[in-house]
Amino acid sequence: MRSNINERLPVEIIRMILSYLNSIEVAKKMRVCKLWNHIGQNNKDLWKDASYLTSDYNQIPFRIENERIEKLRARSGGTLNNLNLIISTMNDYKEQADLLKELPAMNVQNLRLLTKSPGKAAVRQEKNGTRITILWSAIRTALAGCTKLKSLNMVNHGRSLACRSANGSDSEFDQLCECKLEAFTARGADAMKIFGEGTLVRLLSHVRSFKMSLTYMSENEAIRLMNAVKATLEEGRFHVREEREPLNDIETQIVLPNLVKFHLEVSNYYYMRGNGRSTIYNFKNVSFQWPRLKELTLEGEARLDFYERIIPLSIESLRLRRIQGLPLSQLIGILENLTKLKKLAVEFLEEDTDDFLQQILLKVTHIPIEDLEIVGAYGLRAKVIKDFVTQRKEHPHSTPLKRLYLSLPSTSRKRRKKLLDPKTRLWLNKEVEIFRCEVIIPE
Amino acid sequence: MVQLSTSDNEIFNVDRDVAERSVLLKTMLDDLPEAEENPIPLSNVSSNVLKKVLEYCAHHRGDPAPPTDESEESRKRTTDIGDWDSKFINVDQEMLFEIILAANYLDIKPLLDVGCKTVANMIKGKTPEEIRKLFNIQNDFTQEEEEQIKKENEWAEDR
Repeated sequence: MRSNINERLPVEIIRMILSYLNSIEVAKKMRVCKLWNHIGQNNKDLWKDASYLTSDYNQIPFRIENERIEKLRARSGGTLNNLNLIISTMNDYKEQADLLKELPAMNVQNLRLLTKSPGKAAVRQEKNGTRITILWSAIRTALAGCTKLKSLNMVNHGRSLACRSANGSDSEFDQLCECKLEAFTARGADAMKIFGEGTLVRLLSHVRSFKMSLTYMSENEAIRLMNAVKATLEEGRFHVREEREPLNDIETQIVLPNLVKFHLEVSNYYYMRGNGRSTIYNFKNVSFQWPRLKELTLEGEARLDFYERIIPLSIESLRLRRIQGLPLSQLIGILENLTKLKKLAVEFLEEDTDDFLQQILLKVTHIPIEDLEIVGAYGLRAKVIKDFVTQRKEHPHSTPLKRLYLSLPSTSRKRRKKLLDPKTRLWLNKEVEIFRCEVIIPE
Repeated sequence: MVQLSTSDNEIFNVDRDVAERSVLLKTMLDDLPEAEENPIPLSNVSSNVLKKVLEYCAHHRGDPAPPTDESEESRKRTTDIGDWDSKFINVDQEMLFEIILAANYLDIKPLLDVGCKTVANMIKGKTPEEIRKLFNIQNDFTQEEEEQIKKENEWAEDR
């Protein structure tokens, strides 16, 4: 007979357990028994997290999400600490604008704002883009009124809306700038255009985490921004596009004393067209000092000299994503010198995975890699990965793998079958302390 | 070295930094220097549970102290558990409850979190009836009450 959880654990712990569920789940769990219902009724904090709302925005109409926000606020006393809002021109814009008006009163601390912009054709159809203008100005007013924000995450699907109504004055976001944001993430949302560089720098004056992806800054904008946030930054992600042509030689040293994680994506000027390798003119003359840096991710296309300059020899964790323009021999040449490297992750290598692993066995023997991650392991054969694990374990100067993560492309059925055969998986599970294997669904 | 004695009178010798993952023990050791000489009685914890708890403490001995300024109400509701921790907590339900109770008593917040998250993961996505069965909970609502509560929480149901 299983023991009754309500008798085994004190009420306070049952409350804690429920606090790990999102509030929609908590509401469903109140039907379990009187005690759980009582806990739900009497703990406002259980209702303040609305961060998971609208995660399924394709299926859940805005009307329902709006109702859910109201119900949650009724139980939480008005405040919602974490909110996930999706604003889409596909929905009723008046209803959305009304909800946005309420935003400052919700005292939101962590806000994720996803905007879905229409395609060009839809914009042309709409007379003067009225709806878009109304929605975007409602978003700006709502953001400007937030005074409790600690983290802001802006995601934009489709064309950037920002420039359509970027007519605010310099003081438009004064209140927001007072928040001392700790984290700012922009994904596909052009933060530079939305806030303007001056406001953005003020907004980020205390930021510990700044992440920007799917939109880019120019090299010089990035250098200026890094300089503005260098004192507090602990985690950074920048997507930098090379300048059209080299500007006057800027000689800069950027010291980031607290930076632990850094992700730098580079692309060339003709980014969209993707021809040629990026030159990254101005970063050439920037030297970074990041004594605490533990994890470095590099992404995009650049030349060897760029990688050699930016990767500190003492790095412990390195991730290379969609690296282009670095032949295997050069990549191995870089790895050979990283004598502290414990974790290596590669995502979508241009080269064959088997070759890569064999080269590491041959030339990177002495590097203490104990954690290996290969995402998009094209062409990986069971025999090669088994050899790799065995030889790393047996070679006197090698470090055995403690963790192995493989993510296999699902496109090649034959190969997937070979690697995923239960015997190999069982073997890897036994030989490697932590082994995980997944199949990625093609984009 | 610190000595701990369990409810079934087993003595464990533990490095001080491992024992100090427990805020209760840390406070005791800081306040009472003589505690280092005599075994500290843990009358609520049995040896098989303490063994498990100490395994956790030893693995996490070097971890930085958890941030104290993070208020519970604003943290994100994540039930993610680290690789090592999820392997560690893969135990039967009775042991899981014992670990939670011990972590609560010894005041080891990260371990308590791992335990609570594990139970939360077991609850996630299950119907009330499934949960009652899993944790042997009596449905103590009358039919009218049940209808009423169902109605109050209708907004949360998938539609």
